[in-house]
Amino acid sequence: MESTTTGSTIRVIAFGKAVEIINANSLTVEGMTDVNALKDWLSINFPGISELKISIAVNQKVVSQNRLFENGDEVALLPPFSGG
Amino acid sequence: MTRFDRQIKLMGFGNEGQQKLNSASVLVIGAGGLGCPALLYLAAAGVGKIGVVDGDVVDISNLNRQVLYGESDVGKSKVGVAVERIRQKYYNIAVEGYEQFIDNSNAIALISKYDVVLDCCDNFSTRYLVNDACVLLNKPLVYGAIYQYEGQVSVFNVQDLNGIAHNYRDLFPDPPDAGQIPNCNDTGVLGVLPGIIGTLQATEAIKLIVGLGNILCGKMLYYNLLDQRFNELAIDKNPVSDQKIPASQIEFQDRDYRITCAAVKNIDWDKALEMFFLNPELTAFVDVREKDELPKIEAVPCLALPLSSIAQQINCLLPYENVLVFCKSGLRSDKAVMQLQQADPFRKYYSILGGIMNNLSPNNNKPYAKEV
Repeated sequence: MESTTTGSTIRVIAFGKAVEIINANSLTVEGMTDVNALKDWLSINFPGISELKISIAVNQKVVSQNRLFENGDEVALLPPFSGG
Repeated sequence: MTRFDRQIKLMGFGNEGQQKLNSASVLVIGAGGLGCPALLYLAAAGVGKIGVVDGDVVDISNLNRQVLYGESDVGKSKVGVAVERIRQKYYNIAVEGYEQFIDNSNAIALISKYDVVLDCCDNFSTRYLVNDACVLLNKPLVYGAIYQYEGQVSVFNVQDLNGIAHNYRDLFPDPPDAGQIPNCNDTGVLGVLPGIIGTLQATEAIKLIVGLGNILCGKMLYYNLLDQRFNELAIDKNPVSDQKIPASQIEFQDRDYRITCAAVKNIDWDKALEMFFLNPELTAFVDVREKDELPKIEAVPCLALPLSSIAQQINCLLPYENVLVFCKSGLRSDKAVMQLQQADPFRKYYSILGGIMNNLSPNNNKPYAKEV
């Protein structure tokens, strides 16, 4: 797992309001070590993200705790929906 | 031959499947964009008893997606019209309407009467309330929600292959702050989207009752209309979700599910009127609904400053010290207050809880909203 020491290249996919905030459906981000590092990076680059109570999925699985990334991980940003 | 002939013919369904549907009961919470298609298909499939709960009335802007209603229904109770339409379609169908909003005083009693619940509502307060009630009652909950061009569906409180039952708080342990995520009254929605998501909810309810196929438990299905893309995400049991749910039905009934925004001062109608009558010269009621929204408020003087143009009309408020803002449900008034506070911090702003929905009956000193 050498990639985790320098960080991994991951693909970030946005859903719902997160698409508007990052202004794209997806992004490729380099040098990302873990979920917490990604959250920090997002809140610096896209301040609106931290106002949403967002959930995160890594490789199609929702994660409620921090975890290390590997190269090629697909990370989904999941804001809550309420409309009906 | 019965009206169910074509589904009875299906392999894996048969008379047995129909029998299960006939003896099942489903409660649909919300008779809006999601609820309308769900109700139509549940009734068509022959669900034995259908309940529908909603306290709202039909608005002209509902008609692009709420397909049970037409132009002649504007102003009428959604539940009243929905029940009437479904009874017109099928003889002897058991459909029960509850013309009220679900809240912590009635949720347990209502939900207890049904086998399966569909969450077809349009706001976070109700979603958390319904989720918690269904967890406490261990009731299968078919969840559906939309945002602009996207929708999501899941089935809660049903064990997945690993024997784990998930709920909404596993994904989102705490509700967001008010005004963070608008509902479709504010953001717009293409009518087919809730049509698709509500139909998926009815599909899961039917499968669950009949025992057909694989249920969306332990996962959330996302749908994107623009790309015609489905994504399925596995839900993890969140270690904090259990402690977020009330420990008992009594604790549930005592919990305040209204979502409040720390930055916005909320006030109820009684307190708002008290403030107005104490100082009518310096106190203004502000209606931030759009110009054509009904009913109009006539019992107290109010300024009509629609949310869409409030920023340009802020000077109207200069003569006042206290500004009491209301809308239909209390969501847009929260947003208006946030905007007003930023634009002109020298006045005291209040957002009236529950808006005029909280106020549709002639009740002594409340500003009675006349149906027009």
